[in-house]
Amino acid sequence: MESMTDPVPSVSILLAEDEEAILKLLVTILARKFPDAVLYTAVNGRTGLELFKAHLPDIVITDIKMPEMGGVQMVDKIRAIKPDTKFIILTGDPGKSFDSGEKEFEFDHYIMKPVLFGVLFAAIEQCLAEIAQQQA
Amino acid sequence: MKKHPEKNPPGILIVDDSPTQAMLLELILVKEGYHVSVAQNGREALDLIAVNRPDLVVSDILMPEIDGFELCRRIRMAEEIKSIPIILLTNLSDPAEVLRSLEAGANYFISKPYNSEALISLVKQALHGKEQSRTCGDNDEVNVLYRGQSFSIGSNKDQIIDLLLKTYETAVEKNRELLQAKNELRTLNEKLEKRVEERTAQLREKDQLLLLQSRQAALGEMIGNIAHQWRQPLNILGLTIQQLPLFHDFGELTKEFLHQNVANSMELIQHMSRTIDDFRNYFRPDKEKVEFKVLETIESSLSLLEGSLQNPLITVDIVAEDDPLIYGYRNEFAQVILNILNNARDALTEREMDDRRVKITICAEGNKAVITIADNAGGIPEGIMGKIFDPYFTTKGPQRGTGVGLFMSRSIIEKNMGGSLNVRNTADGAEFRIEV
Repeated sequence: MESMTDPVPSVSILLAEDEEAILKLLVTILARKFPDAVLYTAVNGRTGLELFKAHLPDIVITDIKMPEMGGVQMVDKIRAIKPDTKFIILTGDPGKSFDSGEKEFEFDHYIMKPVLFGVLFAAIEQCLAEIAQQQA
Repeated sequence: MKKHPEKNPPGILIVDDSPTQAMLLELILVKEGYHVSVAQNGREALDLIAVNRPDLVVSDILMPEIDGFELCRRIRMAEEIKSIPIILLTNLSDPAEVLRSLEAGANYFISKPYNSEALISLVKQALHGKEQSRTCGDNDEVNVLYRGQSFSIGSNKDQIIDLLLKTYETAVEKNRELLQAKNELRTLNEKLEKRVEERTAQLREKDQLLLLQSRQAALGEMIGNIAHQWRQPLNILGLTIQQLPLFHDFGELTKEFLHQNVANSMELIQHMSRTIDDFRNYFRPDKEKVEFKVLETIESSLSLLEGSLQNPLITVDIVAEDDPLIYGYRNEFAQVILNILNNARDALTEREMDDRRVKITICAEGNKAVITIADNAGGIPEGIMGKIFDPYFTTKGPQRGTGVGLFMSRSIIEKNMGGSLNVRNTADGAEFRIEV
């Protein structure tokens, strides 16, 4: 669990991804691109949920396929706690995107792997804008 | 001198216990203009004769109470009616019947099945012969010994010769029928052989098709596995490379950082390249039989599946009690191992479970290598246990399952390698057992 502290943390982001190498790369880049954000990381849905309960981040960026608790299940539970959380889903399987297969889930953003940082940044920035609006 | 049919048609008595036969005869004779009466057996016949003396008696032989021969004898013994001509209907199955007919005193006989022309001509002859009475030739008794039985024949020469000719005619006719039947049989046989040839060719084609489909299925499985192997490396590679311009923008692109990233990327690329080689080697058909180590082959097969066993995580334990060798087609054997492991992976992935495991044991029993692959996916339902090795049987639906994997695996192990491949359910799941 990492967190980059800032005198006035403006936005917090939860990153859930079971492949550690990818998680590390994402954190490295996002920390530089969004220096004002607080970043939390988890390698599975269960840890992700615990972190969410503890810190209530504004944005959740998550993979779908994770051990112990999958992305969809985690999102479901997080929504129950804080419905206006922003969700950005990262997925590699265009056809088989959802754990359960049937229900259509709405996410704020849906990004295909391999991740293009440009796309990820744009998604995060849009979420930030929406959050700013809501807080205003 | 034939009697005019309209004035006073000759009366014929038919004696036959089969109503259909009697009716058939009646129809033929009535059509010719004769007057016909019918008796169902010998006793009834004698009663009818006593009342109304017929000009001719046509009788079946096999009848209850009084059979045709007995009827004949009785008629010949009775003074008033002994000269009535008698035609017996035989089915010519026993040559002795001819002699018996003669002995009983029948004038003529006709064999069943008869054609109506032959019958009519015989009837006419019998009625005509009646006019002549028994004036010609000697009527001395002739004793004939035939197959241990003695027959005393009192018919005259004409009758005997006539009978012989009739017998011969019948034999010729039967012979002709026989030859025809033989010809038809030959033609039928030829047609059948042709059909069998066509069918065999069809089946061979089906076999080829099955073979082709199984190779395609194996290829498909492999491509799926390669995709799994490459997915994560590609993701990481993508992020790693994108880091470079970003770090440059941040002003943090140091020489060290650049070299590190390039080194990481190259390692990934080489790993991906090795995957291609591994799969290419595996998929190359074996040219010849070699001696190979079971443990080594299973380990290298497992490495091909690395990627697919990560998500969800499947733990594979290998317990090698011995290190046996097999002399055979290595790649085909590896294909079987992979097929069984892929199936195990699919079964384990389907269910929600916490601890997915596959246990592979290798040991030597006598001169055989015994390999078991067991999963804890719950086992195979009893209802389909007997079918899983059948071609085209799959539980995965038409999109994902080809149904050829286990069929071909068994074919490879049993036909090409002279071993056995079986499955049974354990407490936790399914266990496949290979003995080669």
